[in-house]
Amino acid sequence: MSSSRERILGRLRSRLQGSDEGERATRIEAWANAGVPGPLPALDADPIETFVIRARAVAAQLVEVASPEQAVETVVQGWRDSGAASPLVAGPDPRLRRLPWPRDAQVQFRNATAEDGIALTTAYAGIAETGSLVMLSGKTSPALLSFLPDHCFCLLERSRILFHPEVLWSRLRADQVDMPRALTMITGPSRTADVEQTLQLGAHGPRRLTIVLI
Amino acid sequence: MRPRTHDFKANAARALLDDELQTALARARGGFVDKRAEALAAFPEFEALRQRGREIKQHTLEHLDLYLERFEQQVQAKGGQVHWACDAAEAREIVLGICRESGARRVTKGKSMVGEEMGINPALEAEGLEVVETDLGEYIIQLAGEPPSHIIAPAVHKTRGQIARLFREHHGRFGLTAPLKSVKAIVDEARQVLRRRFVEADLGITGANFLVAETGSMVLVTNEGNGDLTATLPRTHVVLAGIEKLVPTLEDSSLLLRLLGRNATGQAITAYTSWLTGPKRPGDPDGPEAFHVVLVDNGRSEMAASPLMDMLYCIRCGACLNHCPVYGSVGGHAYGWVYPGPMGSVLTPWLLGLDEAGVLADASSLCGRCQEVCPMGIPLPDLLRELRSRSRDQRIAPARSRLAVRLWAWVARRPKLYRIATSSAARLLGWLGRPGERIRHLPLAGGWTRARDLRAPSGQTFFSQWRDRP
Repeated sequence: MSSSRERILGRLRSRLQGSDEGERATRIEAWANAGVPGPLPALDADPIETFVIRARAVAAQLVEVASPEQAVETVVQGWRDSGAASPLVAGPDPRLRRLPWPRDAQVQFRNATAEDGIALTTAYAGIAETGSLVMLSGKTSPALLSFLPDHCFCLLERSRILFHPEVLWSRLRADQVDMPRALTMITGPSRTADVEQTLQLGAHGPRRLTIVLI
Repeated sequence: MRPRTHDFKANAARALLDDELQTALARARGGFVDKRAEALAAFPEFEALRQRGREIKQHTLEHLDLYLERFEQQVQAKGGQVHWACDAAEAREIVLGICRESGARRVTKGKSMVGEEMGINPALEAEGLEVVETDLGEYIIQLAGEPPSHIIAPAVHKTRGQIARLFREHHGRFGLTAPLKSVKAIVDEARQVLRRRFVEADLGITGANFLVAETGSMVLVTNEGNGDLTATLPRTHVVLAGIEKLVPTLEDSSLLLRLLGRNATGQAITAYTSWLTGPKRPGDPDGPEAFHVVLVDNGRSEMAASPLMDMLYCIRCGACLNHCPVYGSVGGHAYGWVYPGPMGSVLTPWLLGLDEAGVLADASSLCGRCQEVCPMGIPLPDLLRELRSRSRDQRIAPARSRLAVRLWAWVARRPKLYRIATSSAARLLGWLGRPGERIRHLPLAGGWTRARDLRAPSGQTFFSQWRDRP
């Protein structure tokens, strides 16, 4: 091991001289297992309603649909409205492939490139506290689909809306889901205020984000 | 970057006379302060969370050696590598080594204050690498060849006109001919030019807002999405992080994120908050093949054992800058190095030494607003006082100022003399201006009153008023 590592750890330990190593190790185990989150911001009883209000407040568009057919209709309409100049790119996810796509919609199930205009993704969960989408990267859900296209559609099931991120963390542990390479909470479209503190949407990521709530 | 902190007085005087800077500062001041106030008004849990945030930091710092080891194990278990750097030079060498090993030529960068602290860009450029900052604010100041003037809004000192001129000057080679009139046009132009850079890059460097020991994740917070593109597109991702960025659990990172966004930009959460854990997994369609974390000490482990330990609680939100009357008047560049404002006035003297930067501890009226707004409750005025007394003890403070303090202390320890001195001073000042008026010129202190007014006292001391109370 590198000597710098030992020097840094040594300096940190030197100020704790006399403290019991075993006891300190026990304390950090206790901290990890306490399972008691800090104080949580109070939320209204209905997480879905809160999610909808807060997602809209950060300039996300939100469409509520009742069926997979309606979801497809919403996304395809968005693609047509954009002029259908580039293909509609969707994650290579069997659930997305199985949706009732119309014949003339050019849907490609793959990762996005820098030239793609419109994408469709699926969210693992929603967070009511902030109106955020939770995206887990993986075989069927490329991370770049949420960043490269101009306009992102994201499918979110109503039942997957959680109150706080803390619920997500305990659920991931309970379901033994390992942290993916990238877990991203997306809250509205890309934005910047670096020029004169003026908010401008669409800095490097999507200019528009449409959440399709099913 | 070569520090110009010792010139603080001259830098500040120049800044006060810079009209464009004053315009930009006036605009920024209101924006940040109002947005934060609005966010906190809708956040009654602030005090409770601030308390809990301090507990998390205290616990982490008391066990930082163990958490660093746990973090390292987790990163390695996920296929990443952890590097340890005692100082800035070692950190630069580590990054250059990774660049050489991976054969990188083109580097994209997300915003990183520790990267500025270690001077990573000049080191990479000296090695012949092409470095492009991707945060819009950082990109603007990179074009201008300037350091950031704010830790979260690096180009806050630039006006729209100045930015448009910079783009005209540098983007001709990308085909820009028309003037950029709106903010939207500027943002679109940067988006288009940087899009190419993202795709071409071999190696991406980002900072980290937090490191999670439990999972070996680094937390990356951006509004533009540039951090995620920098971390995902190139073959190699290098994370630069100070060792104080550790938190024990995912829950702890969520709690501190609630404090960070609101105090920085008035947002409950930024547009993109990512927990990135190791390199691309088997079967993943994207992500870097190599994931490196460089843990930078650079004075932090010594700070942990010093009276300035509380500074390690800092989560780099910038609230203390936005609320500081000194920062608001002179801007970030006057501080002459990487970290400006109250947090910079503590960090810079610590990192560069009192000889170079001790003057910053005096660049404060100790009004206490920084401590009041700090989401981590850092007692910044106390830390500045500690640095001031060190400067005096080490005879770094100017002789005149040391003499004045000694004289004052001598008088203050002699109550009778003190009363005579203060009552005659009060009478004299009372004679120079009527109560409530401002004294615009003070004999023997012309230098002080040239840029300041002194409120005329009532002509009586506290003691005499107390004696005469009804």
